Amino acid sequence: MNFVLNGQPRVWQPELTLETLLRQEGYITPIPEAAQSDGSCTASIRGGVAVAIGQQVVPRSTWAQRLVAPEDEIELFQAIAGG
Amino acid sequence: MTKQSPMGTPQAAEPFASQDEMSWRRYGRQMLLPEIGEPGQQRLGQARVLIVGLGGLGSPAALYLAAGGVGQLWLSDDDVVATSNLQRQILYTSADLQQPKRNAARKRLAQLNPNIRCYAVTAFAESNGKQLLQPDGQAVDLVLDCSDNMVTRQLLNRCCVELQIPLLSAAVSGWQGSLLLFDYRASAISANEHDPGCYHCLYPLQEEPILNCQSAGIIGPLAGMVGALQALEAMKFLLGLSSPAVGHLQQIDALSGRWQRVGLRADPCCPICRSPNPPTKKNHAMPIATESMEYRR
Repeated sequence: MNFVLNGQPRVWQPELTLETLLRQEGYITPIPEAAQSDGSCTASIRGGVAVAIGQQVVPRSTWAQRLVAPEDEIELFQAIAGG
Repeated sequence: MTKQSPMGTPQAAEPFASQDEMSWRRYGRQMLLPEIGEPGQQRLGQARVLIVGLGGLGSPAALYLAAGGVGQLWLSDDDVVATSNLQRQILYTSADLQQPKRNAARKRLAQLNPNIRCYAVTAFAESNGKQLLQPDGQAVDLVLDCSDNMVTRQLLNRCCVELQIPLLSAAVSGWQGSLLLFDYRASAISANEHDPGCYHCLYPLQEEPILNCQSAGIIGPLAGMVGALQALEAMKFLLGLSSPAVGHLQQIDALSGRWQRVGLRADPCCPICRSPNPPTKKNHAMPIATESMEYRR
């Protein structure tokens, strides 16, 4: 069984939460304190990711509870701030 | 057709033309749309909009809102026009180099449409934010976030939530563009089946994303397209037309041509819009940075 992440099929595993998936994919990483002020850390954009499943955003505080279901279509949206 | 003087500038309108005649002459093409007409044009003429950031997004957004007869525009920016801006910031010409953007923008918009009022105001900041949102004591009808940094975006969101002012937020970077429309008016929130929350629910960030226009680059027409889309959604909102943009994130990948639209959902733990008590001045100091750390763990 597969689910889809950003258009790519992935093998589904039971008990996989959204948070674990995002951690495995490198979208949630701790930010070294020294790197926060000058924006030099790649983790900052990873912290700025929003997740949608089936065209609806999944609130961030529910990522740890939300189990990835087979055939979920997950899309990630990275924050951009330019203007 | 308007008569042209030898210098190529339109002659002054006939002194006895009524307001309606003036409107039809200038805005007739959009007033022909059944959703606009005379009542819609009057509505636009009475509308008050704050534009935060007069760069790649703010340029086309301000030009179209001014051209379309949005009655009052507050133009907020502290930068001066630099040569590197001219590739995409179409409000300005080479003659405007080193001029404050807000002044150059005001001058350009007044030339485009002398029948509206434009005010040049300073950049949006903690100290003046609420004042800019209520420039003459009364709240503006809509805020356009055309800024180029996350600090301003979070501050603007927090103030709009608190004062219940609708926020139309756009961003561009690289080949990516995005648009978000939050209707923070109490009536709109209670009428919404799914509460879309606020900007902070979606992106609880205080630090800058690593990619901005300086580091990631930006292609001019993408900024133009997203800024024009922002003006379009602004006019629809001010006209009271329903729009699928409300409560949605729209993201455009200009390289692949892919457009995506997803529904927003409030985060039940959001400290900005879920707070049982509105934040007070005292705890405004550094709330966002601390809270976003918790999210990242």
